[in-house]
Amino acid sequence: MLGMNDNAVELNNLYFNYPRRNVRVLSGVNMQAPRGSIVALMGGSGSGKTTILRLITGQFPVPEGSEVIVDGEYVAKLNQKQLYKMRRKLGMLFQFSGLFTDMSVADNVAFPLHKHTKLTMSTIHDMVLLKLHAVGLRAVATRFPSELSGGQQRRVALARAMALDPHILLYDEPFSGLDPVSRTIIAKLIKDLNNALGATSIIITHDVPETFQIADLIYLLWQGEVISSGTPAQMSASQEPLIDQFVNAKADGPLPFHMPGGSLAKDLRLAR
Amino acid sequence: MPGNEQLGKSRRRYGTLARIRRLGWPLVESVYDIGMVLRFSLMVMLRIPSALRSFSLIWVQIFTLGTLSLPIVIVSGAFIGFVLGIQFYTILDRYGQTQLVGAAAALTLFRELGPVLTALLYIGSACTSITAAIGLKRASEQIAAMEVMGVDPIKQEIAPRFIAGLISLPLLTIVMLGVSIMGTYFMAVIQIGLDEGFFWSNMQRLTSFYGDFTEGLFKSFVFAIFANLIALFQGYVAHPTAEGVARATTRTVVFASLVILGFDFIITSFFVDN
Amino acid sequence: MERDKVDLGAGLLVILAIASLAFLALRAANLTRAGSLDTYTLNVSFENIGGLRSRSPVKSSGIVVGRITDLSLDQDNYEAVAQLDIETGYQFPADSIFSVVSTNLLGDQYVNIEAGGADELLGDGDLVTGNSAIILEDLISKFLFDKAAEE
Repeated sequence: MLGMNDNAVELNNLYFNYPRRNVRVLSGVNMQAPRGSIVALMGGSGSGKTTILRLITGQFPVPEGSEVIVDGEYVAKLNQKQLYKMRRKLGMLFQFSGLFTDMSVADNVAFPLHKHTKLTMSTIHDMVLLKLHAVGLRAVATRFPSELSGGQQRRVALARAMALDPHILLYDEPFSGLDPVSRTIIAKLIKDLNNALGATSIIITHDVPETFQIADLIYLLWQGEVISSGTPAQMSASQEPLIDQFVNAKADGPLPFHMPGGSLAKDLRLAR
Repeated sequence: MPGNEQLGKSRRRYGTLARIRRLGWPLVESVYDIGMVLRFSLMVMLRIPSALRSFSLIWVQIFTLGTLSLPIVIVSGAFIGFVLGIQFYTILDRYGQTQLVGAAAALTLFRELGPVLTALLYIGSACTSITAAIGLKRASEQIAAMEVMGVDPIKQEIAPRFIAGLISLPLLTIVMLGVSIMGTYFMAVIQIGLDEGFFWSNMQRLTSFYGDFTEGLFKSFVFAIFANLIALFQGYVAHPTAEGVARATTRTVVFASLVILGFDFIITSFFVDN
Repeated sequence: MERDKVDLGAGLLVILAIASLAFLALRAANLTRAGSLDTYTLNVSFENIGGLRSRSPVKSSGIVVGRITDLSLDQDNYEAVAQLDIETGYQFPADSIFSVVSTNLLGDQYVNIEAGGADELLGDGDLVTGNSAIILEDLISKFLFDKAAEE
């Protein structure tokens, strides 16, 4: 493969505007995810994290002048068919799990296997049980997603995401809305699966403690730009006020509490 | 068709330039929307051949869209039949032509009431469920999950519903016609006591299978195309929130009903001209 | 179980639609022959059947005794032949008079049988000659010609 290097995912000079709205979401993001590593993209709400995931999976078109390289392939150059083929190398865990509500847990995990392999029913059945066992939920195989707790749903979704043994795993806010125990379980699973599959993981999150435990590399995003990157140790040790504020979750600092705007007095019509 | 809530929200709301821009914006937006509808329709049409191969998905949707609409269609059909029996008897009795009650009811039903009323009932019961189902699948990231898994959601979720809708609505229309004619028969012959022979013989004489009936069926097929496409499109572009899905469902009912009444007029004038 | 419910329900819709289609095709739109009662057939030839049609009633003294099942043109003498299905319970003498009459001036026409006095009865497949329909236009033109001739 040409252009092969040791990065599973590479973003070069990534810009993005939402179509039909003149809102700049990303302005020149550069990011490398080395093979086998766990990379975390951190940032506050609205910093463009989810948009980056959508660009990696090709759900949004890559803008001119920007490059998204996944497993050595330029996403912008893929046609629909090649794109769908590329996506089979990806596993993605959605924020709201994205489980199919009209199928049982086992059928959910079996879905990508049925769609992309020619395995027999009994082989798929066995594989589904193994995947569910890996996330500790073999017992709920016949239940429906709506009967599970939020944390369990996310684990089932994780089992489904790794059903095809993907090279690259993408996680959209894997810790949000979970209790502390479930958060720890998910963090442990992400780490274990990454090692077991030899995959590369990209985590989009704003949960500092769990992420710092498992990530190899952290990118800090603010308003569509990478403002800092490094290992968890480097980030924790950093004296830079911006990083300090985010890592230690301080309410005010260089990242202003107030959205930039006119003065309050003017909005309240107290001044002209 | 507005499919997006954030339309026309430009940052600059004041000043001459913004005012001029506001004038042109709805036009630009509607052209954009028409383009989106056409592109979506084309995408669905192109997936039909491959969707036909997994018939079990279609079969399930025939159950959801067709069978679950059967009760309302049958009950409405019976009552429409009763009412037509009474009304045509009252009207035709003034001219001493009560033997035409069956024929008049059948003509009205075959050409107009059958296809149109069934389509409107179908919009209320099946199209709303299409929009809600697709919208909720979008809101809960099920559509996105398919895309990322390399499974085409149009082929998996949209096209089977479209094909099932194309089959279900004409079937429901046929059931509606049968039931409502039986309803008219019940009212006119059994209740009012008109001659059974005149009732059927005039119906046969004045309606033709390969004209009135097939015209009605053709209408119902055209209605099925548009009602289902609108419902699917509204679900597909619905804002992925509970409120967005609710609004999309309302839009489905409004747009689909208007489009169907419009096409009914167009098709009717076309058939009358020929 | 879920699977069975879907199969049953969707199958029900298809079956109902086919039944309804058959009913519409055979009963409501012109493709049928009724006759479920025991009947025998009489053929009656008319010079003109007027507005008579298939499935029009056959009456005697105002009682419906049968139905017309077929109308055709005899190519030999260019007379119309109506096939009547009469219920087996009703028998008519051989010299009965068959005529086409109207329910009212604009309304539908039917075949009226005026029973004769002969001992012999009509049987299945018999051919009899009937009185033609009164054509309103003929009557009017005849009346006008007579008037004109008088003057």
